[in-house]
Amino acid sequence: MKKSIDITMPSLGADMSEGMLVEWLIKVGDKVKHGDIIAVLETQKCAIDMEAYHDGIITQLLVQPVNTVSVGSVLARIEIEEKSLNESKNQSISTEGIIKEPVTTEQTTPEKIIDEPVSLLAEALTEKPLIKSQKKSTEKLNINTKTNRVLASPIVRKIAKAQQLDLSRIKGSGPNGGIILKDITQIAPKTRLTEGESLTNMRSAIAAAMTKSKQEIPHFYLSVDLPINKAQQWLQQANKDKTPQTHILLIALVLKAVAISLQKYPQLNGFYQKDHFEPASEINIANVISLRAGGVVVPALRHVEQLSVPEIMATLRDITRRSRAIERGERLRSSELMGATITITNMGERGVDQVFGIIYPPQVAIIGVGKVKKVPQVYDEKIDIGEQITLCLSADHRVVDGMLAAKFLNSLAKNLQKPEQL
Amino acid sequence: MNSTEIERLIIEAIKEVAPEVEKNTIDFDEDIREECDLDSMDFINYLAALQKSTGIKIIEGDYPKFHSINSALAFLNDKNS
Repeated sequence: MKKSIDITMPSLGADMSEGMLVEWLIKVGDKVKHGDIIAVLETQKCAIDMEAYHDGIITQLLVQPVNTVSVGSVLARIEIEEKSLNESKNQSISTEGIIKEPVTTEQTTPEKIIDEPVSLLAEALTEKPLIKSQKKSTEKLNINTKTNRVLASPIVRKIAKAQQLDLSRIKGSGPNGGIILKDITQIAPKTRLTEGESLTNMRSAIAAAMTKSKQEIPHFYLSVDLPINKAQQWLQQANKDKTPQTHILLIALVLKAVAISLQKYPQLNGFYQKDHFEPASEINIANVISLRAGGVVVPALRHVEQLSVPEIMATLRDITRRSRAIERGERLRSSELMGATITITNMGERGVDQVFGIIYPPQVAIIGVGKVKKVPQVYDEKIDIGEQITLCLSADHRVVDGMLAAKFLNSLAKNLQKPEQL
Repeated sequence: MNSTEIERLIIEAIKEVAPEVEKNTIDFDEDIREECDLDSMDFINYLAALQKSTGIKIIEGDYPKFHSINSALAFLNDKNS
């Protein structure tokens, strides 16, 4: 039996209230598979590859690029076999991010099908209409269709066409002088955000989400100073003669240790919504990655409990590289910005002793990692020089009490004393 | 590869992780991490990009030789000769 499913503007973080559909990569009648890239979106932070979350056939494209719509707006519809939907149900949050229960719609009665807690916050942050029409360009540059010899990506060409920009007159700052998205935003009239405006919007989005979090979530904070001599020794051994591609950093060990402790204390891994806590069935750890131009993105590593330390490191290295090199046209995938069940912020690299983060709703905890520092340590009544970091935990007191939070931190500390078992 | 080519590949590898950095703003004798504001993950990605583009194997014991651009140049020129 066939069912029609809405494809909606995803919420790619607690601070996202709307997104811009830049380009469809599929057309009506196309068969798509779960994980296929179907569109390019642009958020207040960066461009994102949007993935399909079901196998099926695209039946309608309801929003045309380039348009900005609110999170949750229906962009398109896909027809799927009911069997495929059942598989999706079984996949729980591994597909739509934080789907509680997929809802189908009849083809003639489109309804919102994604019940995604992150989007609840995002929607609460905005009262803007669902679809904002793209403003017509009033400042047309010389119209010239001879753009084939110009080096530019399909997205750039599409936007240039929509805005009647002459690519041959634009100086590209990409590889080999290619025109990249940034070049277009810099010269285009008010139809597109300038870099300055984009940064201001990112700050506004972060401000709105963090203010709401601080006002609604009763945070409390604990920290522990943790000797990491054994972890450092293990890393030294593991990295011996390794190339950069396989080099492991301390943060990968911390992530694995967090995942193991969360299996023991699932009360810190999940979502607080509609006045109750719902533990997540998988451990998806978001990492706060600072962008070079300012602001942050928070992509998640999925199923960290199932990954080895080298796998965690490889994934983290890859998402960090892509997060910070948007100008090269590389993008994060929508699934990487959805479904985080807890967050880690590592400020140690910036020389900070400790960081007590603000929780990303609807998550209920965030872990802060401080810098590695040499300190005097007491062993067998003798003082020696060792290395330590400070781990901080911000937790939601509606869900977790101090005792449980302390047990979790102690469990984390113990795990990091046995790096060979991670 | 001559020295000029290696220098170009070093700058390209830096731009892989820090696209906004311009060659003429970097002091070739200073700590590359401070000059280009690289954290540990950026530094690893810089070395990975450099290994890929030069074809010269870089292992952990070699990392200190990439302290600055000039020290990296000396190391890679030596390996290339």
